[in-house]
Amino acid sequence: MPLRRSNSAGIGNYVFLLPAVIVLLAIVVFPLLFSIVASFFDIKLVNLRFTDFVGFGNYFAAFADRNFLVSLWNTVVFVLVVVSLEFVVGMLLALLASAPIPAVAVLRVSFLLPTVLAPVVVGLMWRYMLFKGHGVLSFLLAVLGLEPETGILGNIVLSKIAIYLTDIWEWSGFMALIFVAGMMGISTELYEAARVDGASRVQIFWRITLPVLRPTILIAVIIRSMDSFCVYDIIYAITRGGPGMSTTSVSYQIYRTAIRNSELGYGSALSWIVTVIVIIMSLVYIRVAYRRQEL
Amino acid sequence: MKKAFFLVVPLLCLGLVPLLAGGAQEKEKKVTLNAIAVNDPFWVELTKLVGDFEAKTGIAIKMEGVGYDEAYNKITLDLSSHSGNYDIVGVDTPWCPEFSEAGFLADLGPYFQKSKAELKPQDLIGLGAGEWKGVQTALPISPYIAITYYRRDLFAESGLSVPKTWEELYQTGKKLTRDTNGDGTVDQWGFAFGNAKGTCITQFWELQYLSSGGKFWKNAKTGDFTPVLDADLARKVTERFKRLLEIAPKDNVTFDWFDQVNAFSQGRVAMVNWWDVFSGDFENQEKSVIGGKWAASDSLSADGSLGPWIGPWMFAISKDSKHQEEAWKFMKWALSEETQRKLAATGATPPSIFSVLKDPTFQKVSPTAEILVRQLAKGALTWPYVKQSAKIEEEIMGLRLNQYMIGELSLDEAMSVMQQEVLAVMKK
Repeated sequence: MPLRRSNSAGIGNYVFLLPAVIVLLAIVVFPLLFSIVASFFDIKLVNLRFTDFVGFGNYFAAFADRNFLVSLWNTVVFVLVVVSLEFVVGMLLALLASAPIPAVAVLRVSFLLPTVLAPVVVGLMWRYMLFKGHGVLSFLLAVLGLEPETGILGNIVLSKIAIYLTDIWEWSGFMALIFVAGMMGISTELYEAARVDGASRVQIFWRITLPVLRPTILIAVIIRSMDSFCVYDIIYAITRGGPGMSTTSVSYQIYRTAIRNSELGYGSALSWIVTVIVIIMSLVYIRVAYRRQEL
Repeated sequence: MKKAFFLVVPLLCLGLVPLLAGGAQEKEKKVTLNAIAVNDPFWVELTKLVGDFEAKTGIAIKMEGVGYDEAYNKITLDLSSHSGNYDIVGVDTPWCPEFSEAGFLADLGPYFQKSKAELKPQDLIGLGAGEWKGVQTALPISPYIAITYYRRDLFAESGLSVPKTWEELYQTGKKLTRDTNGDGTVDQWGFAFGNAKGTCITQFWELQYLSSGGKFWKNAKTGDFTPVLDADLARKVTERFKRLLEIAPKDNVTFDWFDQVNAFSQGRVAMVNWWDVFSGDFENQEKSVIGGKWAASDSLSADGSLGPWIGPWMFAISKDSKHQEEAWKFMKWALSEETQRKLAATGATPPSIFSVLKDPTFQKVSPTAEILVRQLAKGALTWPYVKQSAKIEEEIMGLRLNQYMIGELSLDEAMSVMQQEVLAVMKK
């Protein structure tokens, strides 16, 4: 007699799924739907009423909002700079961690340490290091005669560099970890064959390691680009977007708009604009990478 | 029968457990209030005194002190979600109209009416700041009053007189900005002030503008709330504001409220002009190197004739609080003469009660009380705040002024953008 799954057992399975579904609905689906709807209303945090429908007004307003546009530009530059440098530093660290050197496991763990720290903790730590007069970095720059009179955090250019460095310090290890995992999957036969053919280390890297790692690199770059586009914590902890607008990222600006400024509807519209930008950016990355692979 | 016995007895026992537990809970039932405010000196010191309130009333209270932005965010989120998590909220003067207009704060009028014998309205400094459209929604717990702190020793040795006007401050500050150890670098500056982006820089600018006779609105008395931030006086004050950087430490552009005070208490600067809430800190050897070397004087103004700017921190009761009566008891205790005397004795705030401030016995122990009484006699300077004030101070002026100070915007750009943006907010 063939075994048949009874209906009651099926329902029972769904019942077990229910708590997870409820939690997902509450913390993911509901806020998403709420923010979509809110983005079409002039809704304030201090007056949560869906009464003033403005259609796409909030979306149009965003493109005339100089603070939002400046923060968007800052974020694009931030993503380009930090993801590029994290890629380079991460690759160098990965090569080091894949080399046959003693205590390589300790080395790999040490790369990951900054990544496992909470971003706010990283931010505060760097803030203290950058403080004029008290911070280690401030002191070192002063000894070298390179510290500006206003201090690092009072200087428009240096405060940006400080934010970039903090992010690179925190996330290069993450890139390295992904690259190491990818490198471990490359067949040693490929390397041996290349060596037999007389290829140099540099040639092996450019001709074997890098091409084989391309899908891994793509994933790492997409993850870091999406994540760094939403940078918030370290900015909040180190500069609060200042001086002026110099280090204000788009996520920080959205927080200022929606929470500190109480413009929940407008802030929701800004969030959706950023979401669309991040999705487009990821699609472009994937398309470019796969086109190259096809070639 | 046996079966029934074994079923009934455990059930009866189970039924008795909650009853007994309920009785015990009833006995131990104690109201716990939750209060939140900015972690300024007055709050830190008040937190140390609440044991007194708990002993007197049997009501427990949890005091949460956070930074300025965090306080605004947490209070706004709690009030707007109507969760009633916080019973008592610390409200800065510009926040009061916004929260009151949104209907978040309980009307204190009836409570106040019942307690007039203990809390005399005419005796509370800055009471008007807690009133919105005829309803008293907050009471001043700490009457922030502007004052000048200066280094008595430095003035004595240089023979300079303490400035009374902003121009005198600049001239005196130039003389006190100097290299004291002869190594070729300046290590002492004349003045420090808040420049950090946000409400901080706005408040320092407002202090200078208001005390120079400036006005924010065209005619607030007639209800014309058109901003006049592009007026000549506003431009002049803003230019002068930036010129003060010449007599301030070079990292002054990043200073927030506490940084400028720290610069004074660490002996880096000769003067600061801010709220009189730091006397205790200056005498605290763990925080200060200038104990016994400082003194206070009248807050600066354009010609020395205007009174001080006041911007009290206030207490309000959340409309969603389930313990409003108990919260009112706490407010009454905090504003009682006994508590106010204890609080003011720490140097963390002047008393909110004018009769205490004027009391000769209090003046004997307070280094600033006499000055404050003399200043308040000239009339306190206040802003006519509107429900958009928090946004105007934090997001518009706080950003544009900071951009001007660091050179991201020219004076013309800063003033015209501020004017346009405030105008747009008011129209909306």
